[in-house]
Formats: sequence, structure tokens, C-alpha cells
Amino acid sequence: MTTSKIPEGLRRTNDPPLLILTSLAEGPKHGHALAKDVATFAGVRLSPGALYGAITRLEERGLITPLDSDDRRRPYRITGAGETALRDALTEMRHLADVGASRLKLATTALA
Amino acid sequence: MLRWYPATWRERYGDEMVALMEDELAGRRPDLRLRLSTAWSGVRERAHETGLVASGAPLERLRAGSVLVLFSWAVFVLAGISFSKIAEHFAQALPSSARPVAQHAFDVVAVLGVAGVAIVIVGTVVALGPLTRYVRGGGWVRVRRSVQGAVATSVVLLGATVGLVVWAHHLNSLQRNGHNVAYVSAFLLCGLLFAAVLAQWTQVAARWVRLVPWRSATLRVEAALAVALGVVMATITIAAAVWWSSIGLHAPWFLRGSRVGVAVSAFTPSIVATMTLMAGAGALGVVGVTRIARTWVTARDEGPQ
Repeated sequence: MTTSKIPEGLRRTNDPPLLILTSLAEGPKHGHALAKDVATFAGVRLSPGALYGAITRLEERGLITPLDSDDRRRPYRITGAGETALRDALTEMRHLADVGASRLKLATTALA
Repeated sequence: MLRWYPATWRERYGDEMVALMEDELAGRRPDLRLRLSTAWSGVRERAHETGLVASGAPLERLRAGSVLVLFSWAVFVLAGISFSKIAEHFAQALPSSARPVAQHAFDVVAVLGVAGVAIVIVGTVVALGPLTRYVRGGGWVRVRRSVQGAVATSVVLLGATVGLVVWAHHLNSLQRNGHNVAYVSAFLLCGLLFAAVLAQWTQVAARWVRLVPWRSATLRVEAALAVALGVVMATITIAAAVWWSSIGLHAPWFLRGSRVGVAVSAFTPSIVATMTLMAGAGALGVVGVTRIARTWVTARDEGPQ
């Protein structure tokens, strides 16, 4: 599912819903475009089952919404609630990154 | 490849997912790994649909724990009915000195059985408000098919039960108790139908629990009731085991329907099956209660979902 070298228990960034919201923050995408984008920016290959499992949960919770389409490749866009949820998650991760960096005596930029 | 997914899910996402697979595979045949991961995702989606699996949020885990208790209660009811049938007229089979333990144990089962039903009724009443709002707000479409199925089976059960009662009035006691094969077969069929009705309504309830946007406070009340129901089931199981031990020790012939005083084993297939079912359902209930208890503290600070 991932090409990352970080041990399993330490990866917070391979959570499919978070990856999907991050991808959709750029603009609407359909399933294949989402999977390709996620693989590019996170190095995570989401299986069709994992991708659509996460899409189902996100849509149920109103964090993403489908757009009208005549094609079977239906695009999704992030909702206002989705943007808020993503912002909260990123803020939390930023806080964690800051704490970890300061304790390791690293500049946050050195983590990039 | 999508046959592992529930029909409603396939209806909504099936075409999209097939299109995604076609794009990803670009003409290649799906390999074993993809087939297995898709099957696993489908099974998980089924579990999600029943409400037994929750994703992340504490209130969702609280909801999943409550649904698990609800499912275990449905199975427990079947075991309880079987137990009450086995225990019919047991007091007459016991010597008076040995009667109190079995009688007290049976009373605990009976009283807590009623308490369990009362808890389920209270849970239903608490859920009525949000349920009505959900149905009026357009949610009916999402539950219509399962409700219609459950209603149809219930009507068939009602008709079959009335027919069975009328038939029973034309039979004597011996015929009703195993000497009329046709009647016994019809009785067993009715029992199966009852189990199907119970399963369908439980599924409807679980679906509602999953779909309705509960307020946090309401969900906590339901979770508290589920915990109470779990405790009730565990206590009933213990009391039933005490009853069985007492009968096994003092009047094992009662369980076999043998003559008084005949030395026989207390491990008859019917009581073993009943107690296994009861213990299994009780254990499942305890798992649900544990999930709720572990989530409780985290859920306390969450808002409505």
C-alpha cells in the first residue's frame, strides 16, 4: 500500500481519508485521478477497495460530495466540513511535528 | 469481483469502482492480490453496513459497540426461548430439598429476561424522536427495502402462528408434543420463521442506528442501555448455568424426559446447544460492552456527529 520506509506504527500520513481530503483540496477528482495523485504526493498506493472504502465513509460524513457526471468516472469534491476537518487534522499534525522537531533540536524545515 | 460488497453499496459505487479497476489494470487481468484485497474490502463494507464496524471517531465506536450488543441480544432471545421450553415444569422433577437453588436461578433468568425486554423497549422509545426526524427528512428511501422485507416476513409469521394455534386446538397433548410429525414440522418451521423475523428486525434496527444522525447525548443513553443489556445477558447466562448444574446434580432424567430416578447424563443435545448459544451470545454482548466502556471516556468530550 505504501512505498514509505517509515515503520508502520509511526506513519500517520497513510490514512486513506486524510490522503483523499488532501488530494481533493486541490480540486475535484475521480477515483483513478485520486489514486494517481495520492501515489505521487504521498508515495502511497491505495487499492481500489481501500480508496472506495474511504470515499464511502467520507461521503457518509459529508466531508466530500459527488459531482454530476455522465461518465462512470464520477468526480468528487471536498465540502466545507471536509476542509474544516482537513485543516484540524493538519493543525494537529503540525503541532506534533513542531513538538517532535523541538525535542530533537531540529528546525521544522529540516524535517521536510 | 464486487460480489463481496452489499447490494446497496454496489448500486451506488459499483460502476465507479469497476471503472477505476479498468483504469488501473489497463487491460491486464486482475491478480490474486487485487482479488483478495477487493474481497476483504467488500466484507468490511458489509460489516460497516450492519453497523458492527466503526471507523475512527469515538462516537462511531460507541455506536458499533451498541449494535454488537443488539445483535447478541437477538441471538440471546432465541437461546432464552429454547431454555424456557426445556425448563418447563422442572420444579416437579426436583426433590423439595434441592428445589430452592434451581428455582432461584430460574427466577433470576425469568426476571432478568423481562428486564432485558424492558431495556430494549426503553431504547426504542428513546430512539423514536431522531428516527422520526430521519424518516421525515428523506431517510425513508434508504431503509424502505429492509423494513418492507421485515414487515412481509412478520405478516407471514403472524399468519403461520394463527394457523398453528388453530391446528393445535384440534390435537391432544401427546400429538402436540412430538407424536404428530406434521405438526412438529410446522412448529419447527414457525420457529425458523421467528428466527428470520428477529434477524431481519435486528438488521433494520442496526441499519437505523448506523444511518440516523444521533445527538451525542442520545447515543450515550443508548450505549448505557446497551451496557445494561450486556450485564443482563451475562447474569442470565450464569443463572442458567446454575440451574443446569442443579438439575444435572439432582434430576438429570428431567432433561432427557426419562423416568424419575434413571441415571442419565445431563448433557443432552438440546441443553448443550441452548447453553452454548446463550454463552456465545452473552460473550458477544460482553465484547460490545467492553467496546463501549473503552470508548466512553474518549466520547465524553465529542460533539454531535
